[in-house]
Amino acid sequence: MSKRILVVDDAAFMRMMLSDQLTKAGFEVVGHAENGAVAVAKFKELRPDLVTMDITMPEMDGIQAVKEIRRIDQTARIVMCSAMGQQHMVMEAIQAGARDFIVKPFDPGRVMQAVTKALA
Amino acid sequence: MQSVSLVQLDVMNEIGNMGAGHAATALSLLMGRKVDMAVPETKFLNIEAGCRELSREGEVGVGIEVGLCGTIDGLTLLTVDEASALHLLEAFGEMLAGSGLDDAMAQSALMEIGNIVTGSFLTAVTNFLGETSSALPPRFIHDYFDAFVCNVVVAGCGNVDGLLVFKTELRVDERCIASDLAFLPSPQAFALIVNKILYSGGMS
Repeated sequence: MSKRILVVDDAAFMRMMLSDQLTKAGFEVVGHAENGAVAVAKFKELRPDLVTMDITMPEMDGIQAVKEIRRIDQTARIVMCSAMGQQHMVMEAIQAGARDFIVKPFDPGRVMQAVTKALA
Repeated sequence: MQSVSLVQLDVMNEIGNMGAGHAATALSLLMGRKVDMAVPETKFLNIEAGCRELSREGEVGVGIEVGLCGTIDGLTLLTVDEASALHLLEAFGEMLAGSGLDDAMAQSALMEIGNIVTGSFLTAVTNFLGETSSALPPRFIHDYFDAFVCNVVVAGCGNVDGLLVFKTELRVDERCIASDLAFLPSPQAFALIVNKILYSGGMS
């Protein structure tokens, strides 16, 4: 059975691009969320195998959402999606429990590497 | 108006070109196209002249406004004329085929371009100065240049009567994209940038 992934990004276009890459690689994208608060609610509802999490989002950012999700499930697997120049935020997210990160714009090879590693 | 020396402007132009190099690589990966970007000239202008520089009288265009937080705070405004914005959408191929500028997915794609360009320039600036800054979620604007440029510039300049305009040369698949990037630092960020460039060797 293919692994189930929740894609979180405030940019609809980036959600579409990443979902397309993941689906083509054989993963099942079970849901989308446009901010951290929606991501936490969808995580509770869908219990995905992995979450891809944008950092800068309105309402609740990705770092706070990682902390909330890890409070719900200590074993939750999360890969951060960062933009250029967000190294300090990535470090904070990793300390909060994220497993890896990918940098926008997404290189399909790097996406697969990070997702596969986080799911191993 | 605050002043910036020619040497400081030259340093900013070099930083702008570093940012343009990063942006071209990232945009090329995003669109799967050949992208070139350079900053042949950087201008420091007062609000009135800045509005004139960025506006195209009577023309409708697109603006992507990105707020900045951190020690280098303020905002950036990427302006693109309508024909160029549509060409950028075409460059995404099937994904955005037939999309107009009022389409939500097309606006999201253009905001991502604004994010990438701002992030690339911001990284170049913060790396050079040894400071930190982060971009906030972008805002999409589709309106007459005269209207939105002045609104953003006047609101964004705060107590600094000046803005930096990076005159960009952006090419996607050899086609010229008419765009400029304005950088409007807060008064504190402006003072920090000017002082750090002054003492960074840029004035030696």
